[in-house]
Amino acid sequence: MSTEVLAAPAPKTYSGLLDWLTTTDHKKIGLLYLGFAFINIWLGGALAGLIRLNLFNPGWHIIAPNVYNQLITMHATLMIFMAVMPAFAGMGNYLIPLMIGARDMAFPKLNAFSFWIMIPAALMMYVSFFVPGGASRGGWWQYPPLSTFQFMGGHGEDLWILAVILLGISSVTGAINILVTIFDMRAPGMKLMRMPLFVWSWLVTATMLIVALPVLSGTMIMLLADRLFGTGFYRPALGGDPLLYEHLFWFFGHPEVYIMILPGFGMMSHIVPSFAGKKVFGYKGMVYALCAIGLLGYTVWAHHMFTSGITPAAQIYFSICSMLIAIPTGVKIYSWLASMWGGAIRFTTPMLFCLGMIALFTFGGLTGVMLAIVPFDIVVHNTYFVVGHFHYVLVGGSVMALLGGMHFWYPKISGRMLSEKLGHWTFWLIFIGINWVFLPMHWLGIEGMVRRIATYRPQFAFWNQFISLGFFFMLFGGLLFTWNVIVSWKKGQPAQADAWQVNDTQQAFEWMTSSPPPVHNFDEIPAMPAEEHA
Amino acid sequence: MNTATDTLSASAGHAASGEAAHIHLPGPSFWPILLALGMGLVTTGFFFWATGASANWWFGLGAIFCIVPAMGWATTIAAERRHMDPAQTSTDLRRGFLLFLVSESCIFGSFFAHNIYLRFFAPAWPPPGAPVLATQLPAIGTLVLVLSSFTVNIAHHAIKSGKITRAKNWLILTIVMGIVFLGIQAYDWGFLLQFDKFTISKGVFGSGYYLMTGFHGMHVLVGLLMLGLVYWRLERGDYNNPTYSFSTDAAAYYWHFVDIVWIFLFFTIYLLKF
Amino acid sequence: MKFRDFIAAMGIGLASLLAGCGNPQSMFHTAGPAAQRLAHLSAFIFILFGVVAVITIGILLAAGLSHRGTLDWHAPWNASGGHKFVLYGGLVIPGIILFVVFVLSLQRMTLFPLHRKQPMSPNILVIGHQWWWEVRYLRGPADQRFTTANEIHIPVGRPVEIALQSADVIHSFWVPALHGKVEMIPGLTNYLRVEASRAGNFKGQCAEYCGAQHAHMRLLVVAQPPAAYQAWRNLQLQPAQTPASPQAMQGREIFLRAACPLCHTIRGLGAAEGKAGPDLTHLAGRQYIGANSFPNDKADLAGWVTHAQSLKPGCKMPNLDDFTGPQLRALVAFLDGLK
Repeated sequence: MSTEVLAAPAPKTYSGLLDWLTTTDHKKIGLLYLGFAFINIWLGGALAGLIRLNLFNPGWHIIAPNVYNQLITMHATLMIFMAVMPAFAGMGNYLIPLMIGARDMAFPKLNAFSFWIMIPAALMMYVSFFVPGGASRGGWWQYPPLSTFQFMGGHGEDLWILAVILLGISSVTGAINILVTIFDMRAPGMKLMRMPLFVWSWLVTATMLIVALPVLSGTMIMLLADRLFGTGFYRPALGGDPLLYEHLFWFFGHPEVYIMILPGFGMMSHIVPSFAGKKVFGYKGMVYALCAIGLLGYTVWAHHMFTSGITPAAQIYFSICSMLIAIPTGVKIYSWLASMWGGAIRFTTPMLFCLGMIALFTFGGLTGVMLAIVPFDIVVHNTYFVVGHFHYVLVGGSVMALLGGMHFWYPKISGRMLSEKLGHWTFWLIFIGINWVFLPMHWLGIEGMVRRIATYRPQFAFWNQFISLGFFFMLFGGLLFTWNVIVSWKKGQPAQADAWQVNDTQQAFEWMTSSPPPVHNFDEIPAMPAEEHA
Repeated sequence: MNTATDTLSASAGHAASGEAAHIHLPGPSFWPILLALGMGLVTTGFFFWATGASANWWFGLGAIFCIVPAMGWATTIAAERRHMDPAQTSTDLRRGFLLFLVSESCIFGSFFAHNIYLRFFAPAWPPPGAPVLATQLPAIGTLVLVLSSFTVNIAHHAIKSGKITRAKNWLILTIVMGIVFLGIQAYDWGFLLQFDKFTISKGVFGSGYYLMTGFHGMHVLVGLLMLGLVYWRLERGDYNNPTYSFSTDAAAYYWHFVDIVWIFLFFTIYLLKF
Repeated sequence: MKFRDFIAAMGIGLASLLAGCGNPQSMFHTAGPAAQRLAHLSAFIFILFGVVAVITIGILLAAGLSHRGTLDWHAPWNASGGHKFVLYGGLVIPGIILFVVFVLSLQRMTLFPLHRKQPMSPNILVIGHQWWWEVRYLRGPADQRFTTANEIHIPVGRPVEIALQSADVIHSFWVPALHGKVEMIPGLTNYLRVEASRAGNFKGQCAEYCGAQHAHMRLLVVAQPPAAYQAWRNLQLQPAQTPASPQAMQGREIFLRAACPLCHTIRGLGAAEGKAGPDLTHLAGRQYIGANSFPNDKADLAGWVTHAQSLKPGCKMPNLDDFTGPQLRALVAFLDGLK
């Protein structure tokens, strides 16, 4: 098959900063992604703090409404595009080659590019706060005509659009890289149906990215043209249709939701069985559930638009499809529970985060199904009920899973253990914080408080004050985690190759190599054990 | 989900090759970060240009930082691949490129979705005031582009079987046909702009028409560039080893892609009458 | 902020919570058949999904805590079985629940005449503006039609069909006591049929983010017994009242000479035919100003005229702060007399 393969010259190496700037090592790029996400989750969190400060009392006007609207828009943008997505991309980058027994990604340089192209995008986002008129204030949906130039002057919005297009390039190139890596670089004998579930979750996620993100780019190109070149794609005066924008945006927007949770599901499927001392329950069911969620994710977008006047037939269709997603999701949750059942559970920090994630995600998922019910949705749509719901799935789901994953694989990445004591504290602070902050939001929504308002009627004051206080739980939890990560990097207990004794019961490649792994990942590519016939 | 690749790739993975001594890892590279910088500069330049500020420096610098790293990157990869399994790297690159085309078609998909949605839901289509697009000339363009897909195919096969002169001739023909197509489009645009005073801001019909044909035209241009590069490399005699054929594959796939998109585009914009 | 202020603020909050049972914006505080049926379904959904959540989290706790053993006596690592558990928990039971809920929701969906192609003969057209509501009463011949703003009066016990449009960006019409929300999309018309079963003031709010003052785009629906409604309607059909006092007469002249008529209409006042702002013909009859953001009294009116940009930054109403004191008082007297 192969023609002559020349012996490779030893690659040039750099040290220090140049090493990080020029690296094509998937592990270092993964760390860059994680660092980027880390910075942005703090920035996004700071914006959240300002939002809660402004909402502490009705009518305070600490923050001008225009600035407040920038805060909510940028909080969402930073958290979605520049914190959660890069964090998962970082974990994927670091772990996928290790898990499938590869030495690197399929396209190491493209991998570096996928990361570095986010930097100009991030700079444009940050700079947009300081251009005349401030950052984008259209909400992260950017519904026109509000986001057209007529109603939103200043060029912060244009910077936002261009930055999002760049971030889309990053995501798509990253997804292509991951897909090719998964298809072409698995260790001998690792068939698709024997891949680790985190790799499976990224296979589905990357497929979704490749289809969904370009649609966002196309939609945003048209919006940008409307703003700057006088076109009429979404401007009713020129024959355009704002409702069409809603369709296009949510055709991207809903798959995006699954893009932000599926890798978390994948991590859960590693951590839960590892600390239950069992193998993951129902592997095939888990894989089929992932694929089902990925496919159904494209058929449900208009459940974000039940109040927009789409036909009853469309409402029924989108309602059914949205509810159907509950079934594969239920299969996943119950499979995790079954994986735990009868096991000898070790309540380590990663396991605690996973248990917390199951509880919180179950709750957020159920409110999600409620929102798929048309008559209920038209009542609570665009209220704080929805805000509570998606924070339960994004913070309670994605971020909890991410924190679990970070605690779980940190020994592999750094070669040192995180402090379990601080980890437990982090977990309880964050877990209580999430419930403290986001549970009352559901009640506020039922009481009639709509979202994205800079001030509210006095009857909502108590719970808003209550929620604002809960911010400090999240803050201290975050500080503790940051402290733990930084201090343990040099001073933690040295970790063994198999830091959690995962391979007592499993055959996980990433725990077979040293902690941290060598540059070439494996001295010898591990062999896939023979298939059992169960 | 993908059982075909399952058996195919698990046996041919990079990982399969060699002992620790032969582990080849690509070295560090400045090209990715520089290209990212270049794209950032061009995007910023576009921002300044589109908002009415002067952007020449940004575009100039950006172009340098895009072109030089892109060329350096390509050269590095070409050099690196000599130390790697050529069949496998070609498979990787081909798959990556096809996935890239999938994502490209999704951008086009969003434009098509926009157009088709309006056909169903707009109060009137074509909207009042929109000119009737003449179909004869674009039909000729379509024919030329479709035929060029065949000619590029012949060239592609000729390269694979080592018939360099034959490949060059057919490639030249393809490039000429591509230029003819672009010329027809440019004439069409000029006609609409000059005689119908039909601009991009004259309503959603014009916006869609210019965006879709323009975006497609940009792709034709990029496709021509790729074909030109292939021709240049043919002249240099780079293709004596058919296993290193990714760049020809990419150019050919891209050209077919551009062609297929145009067929849909022609049908949607020019022929569909409801 | 001082600690004392903080305690005071929390006190206010707590008091408002206790009063919240009667919160007129709650989805369970219904005043019409449509909202009531939605609330019933919602209550059922809350209980159902609450039970599901409790059961699932209960299983989680049981799975987590009941077998907290050592590696010696837990189930073998490759223990299988339990497929029925996942089959029922993840597939069958959710399937049944979803089916039931779906059927119930279909029943309720007949409540929404949302389809914009459906032929309707709306009584009221509401047009969303940044950030106020234009309300046009459409029924009857031309001389029975009138325009008002921000406060919609409806008769108790009669279904009222409302057409919803937008003049600029996407808004959403929502009065929780009467019905769910429906978006107002520029270029399109949506419909909503509401009916109040009892008299009262029902608060609403724009429910689609619409820019700087989205928070202050509030709405009030006043449901009145038919007789009172008819009286209100008859009053609205009249042109503006002639000012009763010399001061108010002077105020009218000031109104006409200032920038006011460029944006506002006062019927019966010749030159004042602006359409950019709310119709002020019967301003004094409304309960609030600034799209139901501030009480409608002389002090707030004066504040609104001179400092709208401080009260509602970004709104289209400029600060008209070059009046002298007597001029302002006269202007407010005139506005306050527009019963």
